[in-house]
Amino acid sequence: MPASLLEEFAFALLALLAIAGAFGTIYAKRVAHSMLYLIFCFLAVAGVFLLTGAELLAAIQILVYLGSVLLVVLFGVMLTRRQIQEEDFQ
Amino acid sequence: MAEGDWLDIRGWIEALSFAIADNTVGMSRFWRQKGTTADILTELIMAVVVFGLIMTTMLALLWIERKFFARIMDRRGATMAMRSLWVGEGGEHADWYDLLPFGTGAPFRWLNRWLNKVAGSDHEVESVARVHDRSYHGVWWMLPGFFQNIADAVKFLTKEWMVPTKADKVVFEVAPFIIISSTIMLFAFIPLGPHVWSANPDLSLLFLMAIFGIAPLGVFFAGWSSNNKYTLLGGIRSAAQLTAYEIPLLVTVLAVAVLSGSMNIIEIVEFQMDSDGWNLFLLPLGAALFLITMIAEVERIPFDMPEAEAELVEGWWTEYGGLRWGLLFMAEYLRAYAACLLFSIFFLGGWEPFGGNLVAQYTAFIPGIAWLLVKSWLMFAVFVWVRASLHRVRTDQILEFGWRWLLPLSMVNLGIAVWLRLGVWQGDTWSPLVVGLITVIAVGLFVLLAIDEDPTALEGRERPYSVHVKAGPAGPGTHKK
Repeated sequence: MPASLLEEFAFALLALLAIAGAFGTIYAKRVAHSMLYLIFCFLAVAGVFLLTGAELLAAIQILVYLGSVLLVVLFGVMLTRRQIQEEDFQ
Repeated sequence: MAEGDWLDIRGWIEALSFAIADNTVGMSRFWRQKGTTADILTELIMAVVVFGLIMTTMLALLWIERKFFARIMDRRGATMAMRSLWVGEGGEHADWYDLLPFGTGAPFRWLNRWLNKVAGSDHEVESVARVHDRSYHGVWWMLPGFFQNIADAVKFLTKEWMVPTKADKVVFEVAPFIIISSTIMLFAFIPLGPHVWSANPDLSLLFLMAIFGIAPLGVFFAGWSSNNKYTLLGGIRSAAQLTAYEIPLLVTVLAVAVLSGSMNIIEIVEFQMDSDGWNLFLLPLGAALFLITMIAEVERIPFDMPEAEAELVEGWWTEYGGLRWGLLFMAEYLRAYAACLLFSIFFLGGWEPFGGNLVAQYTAFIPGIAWLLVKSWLMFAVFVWVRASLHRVRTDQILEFGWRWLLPLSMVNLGIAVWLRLGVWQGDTWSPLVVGLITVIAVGLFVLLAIDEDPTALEGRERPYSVHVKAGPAGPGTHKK
């Protein structure tokens, strides 16, 4: 059944993206980079929700986690910076 | 009405894809996948059709912005470009009407003669001729100034792409992708007509609003990765402003969904058609809130603090150049276009003709998409009007207004919507009494507020972060002392 094969392929892609995003979140050196990885992780999780037919959950995942929670994390990044120009950052 | 108009683009494309699938996959040994192939083909073609329609009709937005803004501000060049239709080049008359067959252009010739008599004075001919060089090329059906957009695009395409040395290069490249892709994804869920849409899930409203909230993250990353204090400030301001205004926006949209009893955008439009009342007349407060929050969300002029040219160079996109800048600019206009389309869909009855059922039978030859586009272009004219009339406000004023006024007001609006749906709605149509009463109250309140505005009321009012000097914080009326 090619339709389900397509679904399995999409699931594999999304799962890989989610796992890679999660690892990237942990191992990134800058906080902003880990946030960027977290975006892809959340988007991939929303995609997995879509694949399982949970459309409401996918929309809420993007709306709440990507739209709001991540922006709050973003304020955390902004307010804890030591300096604006990161010239001495390794 | 609700079953749609004659412009059944989706139906035609479905028929076409099934014909194609019949004659290709259906004749091979993969014939079982005929239906799937036809469905995928339909979706792909519809996506292309909607994308093409959006991108071509968006050019009108830029034209409206230039023309209407110039008209309001009485700027010579762009205003005169329109006038060049009747005042000739260097004193010679534009005689496109003589090209029409059978002398049908005669009324235009008379109109032209009359306009030249009242508005074609000699001392302005020089400036008109100068404008002509750019916009009027002797071909009347080229809207003067319309194709400047294409010239702009060519300019963006030919510019060099530069990345600042100390920028975070990967994030700097990724941020425009986040912004532009999420902006274009918006239009998957916006129906342009009863048969012109590319995706229509049951929760299309929720998906739309979810995708609308992704771009602020891209904006933040664009500002952060440029490694420039102006872009960083723009990014922070954008994040703060968009978070503050997204909550009233979502609550207002929720009120519309409550009133229409559906989370599906097409059903919201059909509810407005069937119930004989546009949401504008039932939720005037909601319409005002939606307009204000949308202007803030798309960062247009009273609320364009993230790109305040006077203080932040160009805000979060200062370091972007060339085609990246052009695409970001396009995404900005696409978001404004989405805001106009959504206002027309949620509050102005979508693709229902002006006048509703009374005139619908006489205007059946006009497809719904034309009404929707005209409504959204008029809404964009309102955006431009706002831009020309109001000045930019401070960041703390924006946030204060959002959290202290718009959020409680949106809750009140949600309460009104729930009351209308549960207490007033009888399941058939809105009674004209309810619609008229709400409209009269709203107009009365608006007039009262407009008359009652006290220019000295803001004087001496304490604000967070305001500078306390001897004269008190700056505000309307302080210059008189």
